[in-house]
Amino acid sequence: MITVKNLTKNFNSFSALKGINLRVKKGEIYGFIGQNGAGKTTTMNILAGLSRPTKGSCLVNGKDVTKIKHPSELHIGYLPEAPRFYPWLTAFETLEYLGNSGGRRVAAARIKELLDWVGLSEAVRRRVGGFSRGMKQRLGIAAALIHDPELLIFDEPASALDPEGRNDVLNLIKKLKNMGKTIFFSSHILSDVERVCDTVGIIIAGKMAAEKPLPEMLKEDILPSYDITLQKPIDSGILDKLSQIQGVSKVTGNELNLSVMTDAFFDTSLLFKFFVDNKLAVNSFARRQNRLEDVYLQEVNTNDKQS
Amino acid sequence: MINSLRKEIRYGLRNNTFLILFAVFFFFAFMTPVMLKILPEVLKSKFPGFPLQELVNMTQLGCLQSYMGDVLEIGTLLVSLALCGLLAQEIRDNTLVLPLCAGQSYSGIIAAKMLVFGTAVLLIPLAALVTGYLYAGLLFSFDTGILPVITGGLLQGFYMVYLLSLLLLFGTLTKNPIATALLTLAVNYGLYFAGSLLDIHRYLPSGLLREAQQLQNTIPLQAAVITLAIIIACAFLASRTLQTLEWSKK
Repeated sequence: MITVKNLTKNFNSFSALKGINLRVKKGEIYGFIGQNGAGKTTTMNILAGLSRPTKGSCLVNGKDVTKIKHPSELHIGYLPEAPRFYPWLTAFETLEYLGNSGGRRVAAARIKELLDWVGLSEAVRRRVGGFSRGMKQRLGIAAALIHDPELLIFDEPASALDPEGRNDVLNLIKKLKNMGKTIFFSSHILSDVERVCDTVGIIIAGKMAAEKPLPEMLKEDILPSYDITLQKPIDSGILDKLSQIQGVSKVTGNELNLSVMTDAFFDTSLLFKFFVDNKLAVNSFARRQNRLEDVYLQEVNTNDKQS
Repeated sequence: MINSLRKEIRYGLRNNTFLILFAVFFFFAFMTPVMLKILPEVLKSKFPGFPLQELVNMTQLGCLQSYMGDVLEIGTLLVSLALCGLLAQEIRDNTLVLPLCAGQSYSGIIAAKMLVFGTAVLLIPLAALVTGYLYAGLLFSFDTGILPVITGGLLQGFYMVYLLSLLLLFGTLTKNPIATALLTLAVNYGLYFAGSLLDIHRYLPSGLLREAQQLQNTIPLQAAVITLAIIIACAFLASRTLQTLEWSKK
């Protein structure tokens, strides 16, 4: 649905995107993560046909964004980071105006159905100016769906919402996937991405640092870490000795709870031998479940070291 | 198109834009005859023997010409301020992003604004002038025909449509409502003074206002054709500029 090759965008002397590549397959939820200012919104704007790339190719729904004359030619549903509506229109009038644009007609029943679906059935006749941020975000999702597009591009759809609002928006995104939609969404809230995405792309300082299916990324890309709880407190000397074991790259924690990061092919029996040799009783020993946050931070650290 | 027109009408009604335009023109239409009527009484008590009758045309025609002068000096300022955000604010606030993604055409956006607010600024000055004509006739006497008044009102309204087209074009260029208003007023007053200085009003939109002020039921064809050409050019350029804008929030 989306194929981006060597996408570059310069704002005067500032290079916001430095040749990124990404691919979004039909029917998947693609999470596009990165720090603030990494280039997520710039990419989103280009994909939505609202901004032109400086260099590179960008196919959205089979259309080259550099060759379109109007954003609607891409046939996507777009939700900007902070969707701006006319405050003097009601929710119904807003969708009616957007739905009946570009020579298309949308029935009143469809508008009501959409508002109901995003949980705004109580606010159909209320003016948007009085909506909360979460309500505007839901209305934005309804607006993106008004012409029932196959591909949805959401820029930070849940970032500014409270936990309940975020939960609602993520549930809506999951429902959309079940309806067969393809969703490309950006976020800097990694737990949100981990919760709903099939594929994850990490953008750091305008460059793609990684792009993989989420399970693969969690499985392969992170170095093993072990969480250990001891029965009795230990002193810092033991901690130092622990970090000197071959293959152990980092030891953090306090006198009872340790976190040991190791190389990829570390032999865990070395740890057990160390505990036995030092007469340390262990209450629990577990390999940590990799989280997207770990992968992301690892990529950020790698990028920092490289730059 | 009806969809876009409906949205602009709602904007005009719910943001009181029509009301402001109505108030601006009708204020002058009502106040000018009243001022002319009570001015001699005020001056008589303060400055006995002041030859006001020789300086001011104290007739229905005089009232209407005085009203026309007020509209040029202050009315254009107020209209510019009332309508300066019509497009500039939308661009600045990014409220056009969703409509564009939904399929609104660039030319459709401009055309809807031109049609709705163009009709308003064409008809409201006409209605105000006719009202002023009736009111001045009641206060003084009916010494002017209605036809020159209607022609004058339409010429004045046509000038306001030209002002609107400038506001839309400058709105796309500056993306700032106040800068748009200032630029439009600079062009408005600048061209008027240039027209007076070089005696070329007949080739400028200001020729419409000059002719309207005469209330002689004549149409300045050259000025009208040139104004129409400017309006079309401004609307076209506004649409083209809108198309080339980068809709990034940065």
